[in-house]
This record gives sequence, structure tokens and C-alpha cells, in this order.
Amino acid sequence: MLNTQDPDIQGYANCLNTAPTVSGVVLEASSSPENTAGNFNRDQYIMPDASENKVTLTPQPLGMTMG
Amino acid sequence: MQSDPQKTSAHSIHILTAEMGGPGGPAHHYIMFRDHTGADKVVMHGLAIARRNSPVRALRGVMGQPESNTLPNEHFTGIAEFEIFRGDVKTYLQKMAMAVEALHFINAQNLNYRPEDLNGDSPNSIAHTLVTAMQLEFPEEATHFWAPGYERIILPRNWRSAYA
Repeated sequence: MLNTQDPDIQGYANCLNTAPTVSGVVLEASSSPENTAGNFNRDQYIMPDASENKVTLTPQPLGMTMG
Repeated sequence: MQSDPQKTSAHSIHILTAEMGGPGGPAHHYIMFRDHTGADKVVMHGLAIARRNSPVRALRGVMGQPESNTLPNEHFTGIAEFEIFRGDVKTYLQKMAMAVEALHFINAQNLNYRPEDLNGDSPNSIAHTLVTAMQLEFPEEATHFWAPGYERIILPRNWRSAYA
């Protein structure tokens, strides 16, 4: 039985209520400029068995991502 | 044969794989959340969206009801699905919140989608990213499909969920 008074459940529900929807995302994305600012810092999650397709990502400073 | 009540009464999360444009076409992975009856409740997937002032499309992730997010039948044929979680409703909702949190991060990056770049970010990257954000394993079998971009995880190295 789901306990809706559970603070965790309420927290999850609050998060889910903010989820991006198709209409909202289409509206926002269509008016956003092309991202030419680079990317955020990531490089460690390339699948280990994907060596054929492995790409080297150059770490970029955080905070350069918003278009 | 009797079904396992423990198994049938639990909520579950799945990766669904559809083939685009017929056999041998690229695969599109997305995430389905099912309730304890096995009914589809919530879908999350990546979208490529045309920009008004640029030929380069934007990559975004969305969550919605399955009915409102059905892939067009003429272009997509479902070919596989993989269960990646089965458990109690509280953990299920926790995983869903962790995925929503990751969707917000992904969308805030304003990523480009360039289909000609087979190693670039794609809707498949979003599916894999959501699996990682939920602290689940991307099934090895799902890697057998030609799903461009699935290797790429759109999260920073120091990603920590507020719901973990």
C-alpha cells in the first residue's frame, strides 16, 4: 500500500510534477539558439566494450553549456 | 503454471527498442514505467526538435503518458524490450524521480542533435543516461542493436541525485 503521507513519496511526487513535457520542451527547444558553447565535463561513461566506436571527449569547464 | 505473485505484483521499469524505417535500420531506445498490473504508465524518451533559427536540431528528453508519446507506427517497429527494474512502488517512484532529475539536467545543456555524427548525442544517449541516473544497469542484450549514440552518458562525472 502506498503511504501518501510518507515524506519520501511526497518528495518524489513533487519532482515528477516538474517533469518536462513534449509540448513544453518543443516550445522551449524550437526557440533556443544552436549550442555552440561546447559541453560539460564528462568522459568516463563510454561503454568498455565499445572500443570500436570509442571517442575521446575533451573536458570543458563547467558553466559553458547554456545556449 | 502458477505465476509468481511476488513478480506479478511489483512495479517495473523497461527499456523498449524500436527499429526505425524497417529491418536493419537504426534502433531507438526509450524507457517505459509499468505499474503492478503490467500496464504502461509513464514513458521517457529523447526527441530531436527543429530550431526556428538554425538548421541544427535540438536534443531534448521528455516524460509523459504512453498514449501521448506513441512513436509513429509507420516509422518505428518495436523489436525488443528488457526489464531493468522490478520492485516496490516506493523504490519505483524514487527511480522515476531520479530520471526526471536527469531529464532536467539534459535539457538544460541545450544539446545539438546531428544524426550524421554516429558517435554524437542522440535519443539513445538519453535512454542510456536515464538508466544510469536511476542507478540501474543497461542490459548487455540491448547493446546488440545498432543504436547510434547509446554509449554516451549525458551526466557530469560528479553527478549526484538528490533522491538517491
